Amino acid sequence: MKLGDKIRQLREASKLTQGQLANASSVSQGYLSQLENGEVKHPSAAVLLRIAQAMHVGGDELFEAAGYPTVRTLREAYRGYEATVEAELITYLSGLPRDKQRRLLLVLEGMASVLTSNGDSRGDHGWPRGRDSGIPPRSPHKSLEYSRSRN
Amino acid sequence: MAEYMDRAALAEKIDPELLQMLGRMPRRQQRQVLLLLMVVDNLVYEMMRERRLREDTE
Repeated sequence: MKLGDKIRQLREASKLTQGQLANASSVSQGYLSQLENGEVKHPSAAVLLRIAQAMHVGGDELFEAAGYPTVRTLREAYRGYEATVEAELITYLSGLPRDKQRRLLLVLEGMASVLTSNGDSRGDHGWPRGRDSGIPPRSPHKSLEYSRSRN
Repeated sequence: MAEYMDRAALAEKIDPELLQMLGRMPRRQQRQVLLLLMVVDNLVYEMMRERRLREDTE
């Protein structure tokens, strides 16, 4: 549901007029009207929180409708990764401190960068691209080709 | 279900960018990363043990 529709729905459920809600959340009635009509592109989290508090609802409902990440959406994203990453690897990595995890990320990206330099244009080596997709394709390498063909 | 929740809780302890990178890898490569980490882990352990033994004998 869009943010404006969500605010209107919650406001009506709280039996508040636009004027009352605007007053209770310290925004102008005009701004609240614009919000409900979807005319505000990026409302601030602070304003959304004040509106939510004035309606006695949790801020997350409005944050999610506005596209802000919340604990719930982040948790869902994590569950998605949990399903796509090997369970044993997750168990192993979760035992490492965060700073070591960051260093491991740099090492893996560095390795991918080294192994894919001087590359051809096939781009079918299967190694995931870097965060910004800046890793060029890898050149054919005998030993790697051999290990790949065995699997 | 409980096991799934436990693993999801473990995933939350992992750096999101690292998890994202691993999530883009095929399963076979993920297992190779795990194998690589375990080999390096073992190598470091052996090196430390050897160094301690050497220090004890000196």
